[in-house]
Amino acid sequence: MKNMQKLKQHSKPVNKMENSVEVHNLSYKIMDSTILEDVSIHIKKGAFVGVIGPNGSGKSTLLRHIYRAIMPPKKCVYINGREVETMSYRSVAQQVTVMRQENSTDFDFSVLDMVLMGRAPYRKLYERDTDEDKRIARNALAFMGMEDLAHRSFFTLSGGEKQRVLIARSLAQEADILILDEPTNHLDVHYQWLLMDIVKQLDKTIMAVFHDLNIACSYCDELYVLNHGKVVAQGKPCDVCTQRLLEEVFRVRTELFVLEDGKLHIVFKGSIQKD
Amino acid sequence: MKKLLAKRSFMFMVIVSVVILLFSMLAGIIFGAADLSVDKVFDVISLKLFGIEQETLKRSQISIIWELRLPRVLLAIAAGGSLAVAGAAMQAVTQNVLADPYILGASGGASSAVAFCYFLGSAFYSSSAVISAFAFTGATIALIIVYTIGRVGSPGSTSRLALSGIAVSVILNALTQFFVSMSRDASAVRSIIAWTMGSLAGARWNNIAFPFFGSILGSSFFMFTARAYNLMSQGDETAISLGINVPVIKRLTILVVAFITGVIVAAGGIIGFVGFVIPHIIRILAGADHRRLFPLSFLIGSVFLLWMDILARTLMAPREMSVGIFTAFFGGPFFVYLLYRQNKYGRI
Repeated sequence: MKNMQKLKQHSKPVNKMENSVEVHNLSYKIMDSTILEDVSIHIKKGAFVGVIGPNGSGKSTLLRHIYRAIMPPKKCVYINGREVETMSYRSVAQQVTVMRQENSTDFDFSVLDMVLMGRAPYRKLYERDTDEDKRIARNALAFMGMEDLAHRSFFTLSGGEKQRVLIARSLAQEADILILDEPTNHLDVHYQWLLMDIVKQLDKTIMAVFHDLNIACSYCDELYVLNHGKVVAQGKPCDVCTQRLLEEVFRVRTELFVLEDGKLHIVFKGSIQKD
Repeated sequence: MKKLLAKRSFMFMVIVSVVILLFSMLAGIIFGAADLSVDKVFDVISLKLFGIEQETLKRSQISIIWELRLPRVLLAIAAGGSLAVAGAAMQAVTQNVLADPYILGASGGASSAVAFCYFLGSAFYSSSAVISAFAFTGATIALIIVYTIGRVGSPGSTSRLALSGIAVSVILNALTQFFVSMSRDASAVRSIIAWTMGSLAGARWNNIAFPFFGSILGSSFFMFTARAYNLMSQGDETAISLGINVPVIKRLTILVVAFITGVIVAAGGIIGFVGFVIPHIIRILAGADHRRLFPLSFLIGSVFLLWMDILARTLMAPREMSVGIFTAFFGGPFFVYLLYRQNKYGRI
C-alpha cells in the first residue's frame, strides 16, 4: 500500500531523542512464522496513538517488545531516547506503565496492596512501602472512586471494579508512557468509554491496542494498522480508515460517517467471506 | 465481605506462632520412645548451657535429650520451615498453588542423585557435604527439566506444571530404584531405603549444622526479596511491567529452592507436601502478601513437621516410622482436593 513507501523513508533514526517511543524496523519470528516484519513506529510526547489490526496481526507482540516482556533486538526500541535493552527493568517500569486485562490468579491481595504494587519500581525488593507510597496509592484509588474498597479482597470485586483497581495501580506507577493492551475487553459499554475518557485526560503519552475501531477513531490522534505483522497504514483516523482498508484488512463491509466534531464513525454492515 | 489481614494482626499471628513453636519444641523433646518430664528438659538445657548440675539427672536422660532429641527438633524446625517457604516461593514463581519442591520433582532429583552417590561407593557417601552437593545438583537439574516441560505450549495452564513434575518424579524414582538395585553394599541399600521415606532420626550435633544454617539462609533470601514474589504471583508480564527482572528472579528461585531441598533431602530424606500444604493454609489465614506469607509459613511449617515427627516416633513406639509417611498422609488428599477444585472452577 502507498503508506508503506512513506514509512520506509521515515524509518531512519530521525528525531528519536524527542519521541517518547520509537520503534525501528522491528522484526520478530517464532520458529519459521513471522510475527512482526519491519515495523517502525514513532510516538511523540503526549500523543495518543492507536494500533489496530485483526486477530493475530501482531499487535500485542509489538507492545510486549516495548515494555520488554519480549527482549527486542539491539537498537530497535527506544524509550525516551534510550535503547530499551540498555535499561534496567526498574527504570523501564518507571517510564512505561502497562494496562492489560486482569489475568486470573490464585493469589488474593487486598485492593490497596494491588495498587501499592504500582510503587514497586521505586523501591528495592527488601524495602517496605513508605507513607508516600501509601498516599500515592490512596490518591490513585480515590481518583478511580474506589477508596472505600481499599481493604476489600481483590477476588470479591466485579470485573469493572477489578479493572479500575488495575488502572489505579498503573496511575500509582507515575510513568509518562501508558501502554494499553485491550484493557476494555471485559468491560461494559459505560466502562469502556469511561476508561478511555480517564486515560485521555491524564496528559500522558499513550500507545493503545484496540479491537473496537470506533473507540480507536474517537480517541486516537494517530492510528497504525497492522496486518500479518506489517504496518499497512498509518495516519489520522479519518485518513486511515477507508472502506477499502476495512474490507481488505478487517474483512468487513462498512459505511463511514463523519460526526459533527470531525471524528469518524464506522457502521458495520457485515463480514466479507472469502473462499 | 472478606477483609484481609491488617498489619497489627500480622504481628499478633507471628507472636502466637512463635509461642506455638516453642511449645511444640518442648513437646518434640519430651515425647518419644522414652517419655521425659518437662523439668528434666530444662535441667539438661541449663546443665549444657550454663553448667548448672542437678543430682537427680541420669546420664541416659542427658544423652537422650541433648544428643538425640534436641538436634532432631532443630532439624525438624529447619526442614519444615524452609520447605514451606520454598513451596510458597515456587508457587508464586509458577503462578500455581499446586507447586512444591516435592511435586515439582526437586526432591526426586535430589534423591536419585544421592542414590547415585551411594552407588558410587563409601568414598562418596561418607561425607555429608558430598551428599548435599549431589542432592543440590540433582534437585537443580530436575527443577529445570520440569519447568521447561511444563512451560511448553500454553504458559497459563494450571495443572500442566504439576503433571510434568509428577511425570519426571516417576522417572527419577525409577532411577533411584535402579541405583539401589545396582548397589552391592547392603548397608548402603538399607540407608537409601530408609531415607527415601524421609526420617529425621539421623540428626546429631555433628551433622545438622549444614542443613540447619543452609536452609535458614535459603529461607532468608526469600524473606528479603518477598516483594518480588508478590509481583511474580500476578503473572510474568505483570511483574516485568512493574520493574521486576523476572528471568533473574526465576533463576535465583530455582537455585535457592534446589539448595534448600538439597540440604534437607541430604539430611532427612524425602519429606513431601510440607511446602504445599502450609503456604496454602497461611494464605487462607493471612492473605497472599509474601512479606507475611514467608515468615508465617516458616513458623507454621516448623510446627507442622515437629508434630509429624512426634507422631512418627510415638505411634508405633518403640519402633520408628518415617516422617514422610505422615506428611504425605496429610498432604496427599489435600493435593487431590485442590487439583479437583482447580480443574472444576479454574481457581482455588
